[in-house]
Amino acid sequence: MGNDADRYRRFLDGDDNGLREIIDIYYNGLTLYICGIVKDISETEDIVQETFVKIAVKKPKFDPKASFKTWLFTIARNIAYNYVKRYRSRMSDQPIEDHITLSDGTDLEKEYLKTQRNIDLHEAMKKLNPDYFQVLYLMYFEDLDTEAIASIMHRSKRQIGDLVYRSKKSLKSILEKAGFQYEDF
Amino acid sequence: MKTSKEMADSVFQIRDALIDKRKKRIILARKAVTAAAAACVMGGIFLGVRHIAPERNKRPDISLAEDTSVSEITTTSPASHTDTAAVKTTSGKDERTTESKTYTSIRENTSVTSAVTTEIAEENDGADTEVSAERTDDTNDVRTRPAATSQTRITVTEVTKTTAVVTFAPTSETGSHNDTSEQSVTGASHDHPSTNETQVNVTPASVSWEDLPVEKQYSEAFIEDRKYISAEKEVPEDMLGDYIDEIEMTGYDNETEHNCKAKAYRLKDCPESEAIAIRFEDSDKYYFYVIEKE
Repeated sequence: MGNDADRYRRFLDGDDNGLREIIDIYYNGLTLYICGIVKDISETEDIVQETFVKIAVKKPKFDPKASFKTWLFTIARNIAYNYVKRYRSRMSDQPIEDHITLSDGTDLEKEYLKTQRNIDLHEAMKKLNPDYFQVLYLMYFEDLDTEAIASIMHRSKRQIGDLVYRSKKSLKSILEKAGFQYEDF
Repeated sequence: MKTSKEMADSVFQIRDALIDKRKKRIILARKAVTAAAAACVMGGIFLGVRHIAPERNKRPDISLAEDTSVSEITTTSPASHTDTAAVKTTSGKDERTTESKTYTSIRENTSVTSAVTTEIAEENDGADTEVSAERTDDTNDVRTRPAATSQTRITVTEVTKTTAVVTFAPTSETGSHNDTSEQSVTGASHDHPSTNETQVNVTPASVSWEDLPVEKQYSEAFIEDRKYISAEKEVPEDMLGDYIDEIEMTGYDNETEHNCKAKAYRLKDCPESEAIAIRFEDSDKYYFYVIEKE
């Protein structure tokens, strides 16, 4: 975590490689997280790009009270929600094939999630509502604790706990319907 | 789907494009501000010139007015003289009487001393004004007398019209030195002193021959072929030289001829051909007479 903050500080000092390294580290995880919110890989790419452009141009101040990962995911989530508000109605008129590239998403999942078990789990989580997906994704794939998840999702820790309970219950139902055993995950 | 490297490249491209756009916008804003400032300055100058130009055009009028006022307070002396004048004026609208006394004598190449006393008494509504002026001029130049003029103006504003008649009756054997002068002052009241117009009409009043001092009564002296003119000045005894002769002096009261005897003396350090001293009979004073130059 400290290294990410140092990279960002290097970028603020004029070294573009600092941001390049950050992008290289967080690009895939951020893409999968945003994709679980907007459900569209093309929109996800725009949102992730907008997130990094915002950091590159506006150079927002990083608050070391939270981790750099938490701070970055919070920015991306806010941009995603704003993006959805701005473009959702316009894009709903377009055919869904224009926005979703299944092969791209699959390649990314294979690259980032690595194991088939994680890919299957991620596929099942995509069927959850966005809040359930976010809380489970941040907890199991990004290894964030309850406090960090609460900070990213602008919720209290208790709310996150409830949300985790309900999302697990919902995921179990989905997995069982798909022929998986919840206990295997 | 972009890779992380492609994403990083596109992010920095977008950033550079935005920075260039921002720089251009700043340059454009600076140019606009500079142009606006220049326009404001030009506008200010234009308005200033437009505002100042009429005032500049008015200035010659002001200077003319000032020149007029200066010309009014300028007193021109026809000859070099020492002049002491006291004027007492009582002004009115209907009737007025004037009494004047004038003592005048002229001396060539030397200073001329004259004293003028004028009294003007008028029956009026009660507006009385008294003005006294005293002046001394030593040269033949035109002299400016602002103080005396201002006093005159005060009088003029209250006096509707003042006419003083002064007659100069010189003492002369031949009458060739009779001098009559006329001055005119007309007063009008105005808001500003510089716009006052002043005219004084002075007609020389007759002074009897008997009232003139003896050196004015007999203003000429003849010794042999030389003619001397009275300088109307006394000569102290210590300046006297040798006795020349006893001579007959002649004075003219209009057509009447007066005669008396006098003694002529040389002056120390002064040739007889230049000046002499004359002592009239029944007088212990010596008077200065200078040769008349052709």
